[in-house]
Amino acid sequence: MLDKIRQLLEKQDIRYWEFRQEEVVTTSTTAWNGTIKDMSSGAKEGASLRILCGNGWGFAHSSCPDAQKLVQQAVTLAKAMDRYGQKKDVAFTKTLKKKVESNYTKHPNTVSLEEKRDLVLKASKLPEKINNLRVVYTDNIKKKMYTNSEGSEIIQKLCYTYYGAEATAAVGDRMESAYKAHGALRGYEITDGLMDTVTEACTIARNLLSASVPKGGTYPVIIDGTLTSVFVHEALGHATEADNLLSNSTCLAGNENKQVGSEDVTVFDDGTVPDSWGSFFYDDEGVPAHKTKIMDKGVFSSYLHSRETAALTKNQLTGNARAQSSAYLPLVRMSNTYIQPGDADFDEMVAEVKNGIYLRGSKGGQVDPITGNFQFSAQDGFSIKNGELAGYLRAVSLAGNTLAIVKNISLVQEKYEDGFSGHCGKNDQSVPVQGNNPSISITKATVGGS
Amino acid sequence: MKNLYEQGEALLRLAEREANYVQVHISAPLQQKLELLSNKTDSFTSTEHVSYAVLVYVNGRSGTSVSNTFSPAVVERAIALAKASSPSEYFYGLPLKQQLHKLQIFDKRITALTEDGLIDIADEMIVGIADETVTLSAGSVTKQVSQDIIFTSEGIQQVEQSTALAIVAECIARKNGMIKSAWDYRQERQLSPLTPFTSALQEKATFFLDSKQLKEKMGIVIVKPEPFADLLEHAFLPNLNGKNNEKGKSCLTGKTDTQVISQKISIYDDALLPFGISSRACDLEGSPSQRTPLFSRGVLKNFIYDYNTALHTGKASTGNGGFSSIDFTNVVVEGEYQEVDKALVIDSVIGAHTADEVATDFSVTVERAYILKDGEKVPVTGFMLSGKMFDALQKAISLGKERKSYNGIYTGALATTGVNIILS
Ligand SMILES: [Zn+2]
Repeated sequence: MLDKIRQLLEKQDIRYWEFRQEEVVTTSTTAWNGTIKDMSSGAKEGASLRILCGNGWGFAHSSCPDAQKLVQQAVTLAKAMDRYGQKKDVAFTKTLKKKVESNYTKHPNTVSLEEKRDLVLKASKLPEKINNLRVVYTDNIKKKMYTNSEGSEIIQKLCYTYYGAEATAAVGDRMESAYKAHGALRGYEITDGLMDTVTEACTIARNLLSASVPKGGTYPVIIDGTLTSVFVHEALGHATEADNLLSNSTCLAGNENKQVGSEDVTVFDDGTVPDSWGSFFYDDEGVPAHKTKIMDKGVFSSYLHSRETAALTKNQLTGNARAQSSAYLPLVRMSNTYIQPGDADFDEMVAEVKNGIYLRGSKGGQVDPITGNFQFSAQDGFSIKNGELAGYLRAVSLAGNTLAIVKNISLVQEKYEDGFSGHCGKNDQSVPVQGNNPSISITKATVGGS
Repeated sequence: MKNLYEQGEALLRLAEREANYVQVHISAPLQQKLELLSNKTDSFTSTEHVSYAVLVYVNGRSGTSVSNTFSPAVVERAIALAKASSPSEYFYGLPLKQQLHKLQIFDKRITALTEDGLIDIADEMIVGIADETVTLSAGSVTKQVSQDIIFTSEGIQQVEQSTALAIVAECIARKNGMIKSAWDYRQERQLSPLTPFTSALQEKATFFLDSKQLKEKMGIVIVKPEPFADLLEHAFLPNLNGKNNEKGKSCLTGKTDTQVISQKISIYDDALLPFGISSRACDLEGSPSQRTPLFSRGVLKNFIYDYNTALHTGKASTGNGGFSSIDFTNVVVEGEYQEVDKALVIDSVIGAHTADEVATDFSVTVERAYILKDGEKVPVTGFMLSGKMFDALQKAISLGKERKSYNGIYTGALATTGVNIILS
């Protein structure tokens, strides 16, 4: 197939091409209150061809690819775009011939379906004072093959494992739920942590029944490692994706190498963190994963790039072009994004805030990268009174503006405190992302409540 | 090679050798997507996402398997999963074959659109939106022609063809150092004029440029269709899912036939809506589509159900069965319109998906808003909107006449006194 594609493309006037093939097998088990809800499996394969003809990109994908058809479709679309398009370019790497495989001690393929069933069955048995408990387990085994016109040939075997628990507790009309999850670029061995995650979700759900809603307004706040992960990803990370620079839609444009944040803030996006949910070896343009310092002591130091954004903005490649599957175009995406730990100890941070709010855990967030306005919701929290944690809170969310908030970060905890294994959505594509972060304190932010 | 219909039949027959009940769903959307970037067309993609899904029941145990290639392996995996599973909590079977409606979900003008035709639409978007103040920063035009095939062991053999054209546009207005973004989205089964979409978006981007800090709260808040649909989807609709009701995970459990929200509001799940984006003749189990009243003048009438959850609860399926899931089709909100001359109008929010669906609590950042007073509109910014969707719907005073659709939710703007404004 590959030889046929090479042959057919030789006859065309093409600046660059890449061919991606992928095979993915997913197994998922879900149990609800000690009964199996769903046992499912997915198997997907496919191939896509992306070419640059003059100044036009063309892309064709099929689940049962036929070389002739793929080439013809991609060439037609690229030529159609060349007539109308603007300047296009690609950054080149040296030719890579690599075969890599992610780490595991117990490969999910060696674990029987019955064992994966029993795992969630057992974990979803209703504990005391919990009305509903849903537990899910998923493994995702990928084989990705990448070839391009530079002669690179890369094969990656990746094994992702994920589990999560959603617990609901109720008293009278009042109902509260909590979700906790963990994922890694590892094998079945990570499920050793499942019961702790279930217990944590149940404890939060039960506790939330006695939590109150804070009065909305402006406060000094501390956000824990999980929420910091969402903050760094949503508020800062998306604004550093260089495709947003090309469309002139990032609030960081014009701030390159300028002090935009407090000196305590150094931020990395790092696709090479071993075994992490957001890691990979090579991105979907065959570029090695990379540790990129996006903010250096408050100075905005780098965007994240694809081959195209690196070429058009004359920057180094960062290995951040990722696609949900071979059926999608790679986009500039984050991997593992985190603030470097500082020197504050948590109690010190609480004492410094004096009167404010401590927000914990995450229920997701969203940002408008153009204006930098963001919103995210915490799982729970505490009010801080006279330098100590006081009343327990629910329904707390945080809003603000990226450029304003990074200036207001006053303290960064001395260690990674907690993380968040999530899925980031962009242009209808979803990819796994992770953050392990310290807690941070912010001198002023808007907290949503009653 | 077999055509999709023959493939569906072959998968069903193979599964029936070992399974007592079988659902087969083949979906084959052919998609062409043209992306725009900074007032220019950017890239063109062509994809076919064929998916073969099989759900089998073997002695009361179920297994689901999906593949994007036609092979016996998809059936074999489903059977293996079912055998390894433990018995379902309950299982009554699958619905028998019934007469189905013929639906309007296909427009041959969309099928006829060529690559150049799509580029013309993209050009029309650029011309309609971009000017010296406004940039069409990113967007796309997607043409989709789909075939859906449903086979069940109870004799359903359904083939449906549908079309859709989706348009997404994000634009940025810049003037005198001020900056504002605006976004809109439209997905329709029929080809329709582009001008209302582009001119509204263009106007929106410029209008909100000079927004002033909101200083005081207002009694009446009007939530436009897009943010209202967003909040409804994430902070309210899950409570109308029959499975959540059965599991006691709905704030509406036990409230059937009582007045729960304002009598000015009615909500339907309507799979028969002409050219509705989620319209279909039957659900994935083969139950005929219907228009299900969920709230009628504020009174809770029903939840959405699949076949088994419905029977278990002593109800009938509402035609919302999926593959081990219960899913909404088109959600239609209807209501009484009443003129409001003074209100805070919310045009766009971010963060609706972080809402608590059971408690219906939400707290979102308002991106664009204006004060409506004596026919004048003054753009304002810098505040959050929070509350409970339950209260927002209970204290509804009007539903706007102009209906728009977002993510399969068809609604007008909601005017209510039941939300909080948090000034910053
Ligand atoms: Zn994201």
